[in-house]
Amino acid sequence: MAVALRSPATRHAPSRRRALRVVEVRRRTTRVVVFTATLIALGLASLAVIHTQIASRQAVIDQIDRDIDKANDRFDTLRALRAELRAPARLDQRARQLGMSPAMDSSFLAVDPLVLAMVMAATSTDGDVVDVPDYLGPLDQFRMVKIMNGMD
Amino acid sequence: MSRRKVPQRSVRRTAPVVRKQSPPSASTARSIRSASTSKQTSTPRSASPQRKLRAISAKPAAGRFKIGNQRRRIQIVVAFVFVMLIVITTKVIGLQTAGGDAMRAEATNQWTRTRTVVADRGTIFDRDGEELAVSIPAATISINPKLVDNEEATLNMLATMLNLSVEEQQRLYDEMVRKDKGYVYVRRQIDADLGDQIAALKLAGVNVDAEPTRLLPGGDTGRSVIGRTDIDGIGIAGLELQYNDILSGQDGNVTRQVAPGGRSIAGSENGSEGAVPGDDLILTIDRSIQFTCEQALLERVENTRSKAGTCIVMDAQSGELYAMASVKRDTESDEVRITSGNHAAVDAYEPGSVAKVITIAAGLETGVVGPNTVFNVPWRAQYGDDLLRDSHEHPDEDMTVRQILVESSNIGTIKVQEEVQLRRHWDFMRAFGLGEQTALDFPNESAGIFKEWNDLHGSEKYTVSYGQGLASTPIQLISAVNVIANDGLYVAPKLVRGFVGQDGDIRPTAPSATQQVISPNAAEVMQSIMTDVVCSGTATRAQSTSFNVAGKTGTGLKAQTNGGYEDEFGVRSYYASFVGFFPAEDPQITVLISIDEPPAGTLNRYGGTAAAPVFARLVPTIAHEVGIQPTNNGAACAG
Repeated sequence: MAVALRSPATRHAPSRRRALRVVEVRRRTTRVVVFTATLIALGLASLAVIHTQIASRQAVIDQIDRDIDKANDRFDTLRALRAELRAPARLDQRARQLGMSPAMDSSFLAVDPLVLAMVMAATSTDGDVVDVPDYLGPLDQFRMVKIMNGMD
Repeated sequence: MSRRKVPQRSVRRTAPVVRKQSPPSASTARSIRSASTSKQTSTPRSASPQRKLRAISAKPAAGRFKIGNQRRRIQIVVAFVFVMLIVITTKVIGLQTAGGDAMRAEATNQWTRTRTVVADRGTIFDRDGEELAVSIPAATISINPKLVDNEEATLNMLATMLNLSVEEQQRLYDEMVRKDKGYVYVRRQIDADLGDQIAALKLAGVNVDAEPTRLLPGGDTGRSVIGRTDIDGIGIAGLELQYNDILSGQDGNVTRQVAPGGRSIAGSENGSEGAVPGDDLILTIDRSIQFTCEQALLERVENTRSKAGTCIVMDAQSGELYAMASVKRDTESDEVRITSGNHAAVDAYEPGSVAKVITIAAGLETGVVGPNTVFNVPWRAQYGDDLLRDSHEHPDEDMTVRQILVESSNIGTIKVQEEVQLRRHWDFMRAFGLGEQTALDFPNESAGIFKEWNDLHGSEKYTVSYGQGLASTPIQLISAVNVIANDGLYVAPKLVRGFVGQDGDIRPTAPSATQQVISPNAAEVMQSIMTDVVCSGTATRAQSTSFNVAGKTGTGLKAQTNGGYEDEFGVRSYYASFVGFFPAEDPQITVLISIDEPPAGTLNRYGGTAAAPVFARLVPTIAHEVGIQPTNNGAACAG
């Protein structure tokens, strides 16, 4: 085996070249992978947050729906109770308890037109002496609730 | 530095080979041992380890794998993984496509349970918007015996809260112990608050489900018309049955996830398909008038010891029914009650003298008679095979048509019918609405019994003129007489004003069908004659101090099971009725009162005595509720 011998001159001559060193090859793929991974992580995190928000909102909506159902149930219960209280059978029973009895006949009294005219002039009405405020009957109230419920 | 790195690299290249061989497998070790022993004879003991290794490497392995053939092994592994991936992918594709739906459904069935949500049944309102029938929230308690872990404690708790009877407790306990069913009712449609209390206990295996219940807030008021529903909320009688499809709505369902063992997972409910509540019904019935009718009937049937009673109040122009009441004496308890059967539409009776209105109106309309046309009327006469009679004996007398109706002469009415002729008379009866169902189309509504004119034989040809030999329902009868009140125009009776849809809008029903039956002039004459009936005829007890009233009484004989009008004891049964309208000069309300089987031997067996007083009692209430003001305070009778 031949071995190259070094001359003394070259052996002690100071090197002008910069010292070389072995460096790790910079891999662009690493950065891409890191970037992509970060992106995916952020995306997943965002999705998780959005999903949580949606679930949270849905929970609120579900709770509102349950509240509406409860309110509707309560409305039905109360209007049934009101109907019971307003029922002729109950009023009749209560009236009898209070000592009243059904009238066998009724009389209609004719009002003197002069008296009627004087009353109208005094009260500045057109005949409706009592100004009854607008009253929503059970059916109107029921319809209003139904309309509201239908606005889903 | 570079000089030092070169051998390091070469070491690196070779090192893995060496390292991988350093922990040899059992077979490899055996090969090595056999190789070393075989070489021990020829190779000097001082041979270096490198040379030994080289010798081993050069020699083929005795096992299935070549030692150190890394590439081959990797290829095998990769091939294996690749094949597995293909198999898995094929399976996944198969699951997702061909059998995907079935598998998904099967999987869903395993971890979800779907429960039907019963749609809210529509409300039934009266004409003023007052609730007559309403569904209210209620709870149904059931158990799943398989999930009940403490039978005694659960039973005690339920028995205490639901006040279960001993029999119910025993039945429930047996079910809990047997554990062969997954669903057993404990109590249905209990108070919703009580249901909430039981639910709060969270007893294992005890379910509390919402199940609305049907309520008539007015008690029995209107029950005859409204009918009823069964425990499942399905209409089985009356308007509840007739409009069941409209009232029911569409059921929905709720899906919830269940854990292994069937226990529901809290909060996993998902409204898969919402229930659509039913539409609501607005009736023409006035709750107050209905109640008054029922009370008057109850009292009258009780006082006269009759079997049953019917009351119908109709708007003369529109045909809308303000009330339609039926009461009946219970055969067991002897108590008179409001029935859930609408006898006013379902039962048909021989109407008796009320039908004379049609005969006389036909005579006036055809012009064969006038109100003052005179007939010589005996109290009895032979017609066909029968000797027909008036209700009381009287000498042969000349009677005007007006008198014939006022005094309700059967023979006189036959004479008018003879002038009209049977065929034309039959046509008029049909035009007045007899013999066919009314437009109400009420469940099980009767069309009555009304033979074709050419099927009438013997005395039947004549008796139909005064209401025997045919049968009509009370609703047919009031509609017929209302023709007179409505100036000769037949208007079909009506019970439903409209519907309330999902959007809350009211959809009114079409106006009742009408047809002109007699002329307004003929109707006006009839109104006058019928006013006389009330003022001086058979219906004086129907008079009102506030209004002029017109009407006609009827006392029909009820056919017995033996085919005749007398039972085996020779006793007759009567059907007493009165149909009237007021104010007579401008009819707005027509009322029918009928009393079924008033006692035969008493004065109360007649329409004028049993039914007419009920009419008089109802007039003030009806006038008040409808808002009719009196015009001349009954002056017609005074004049």
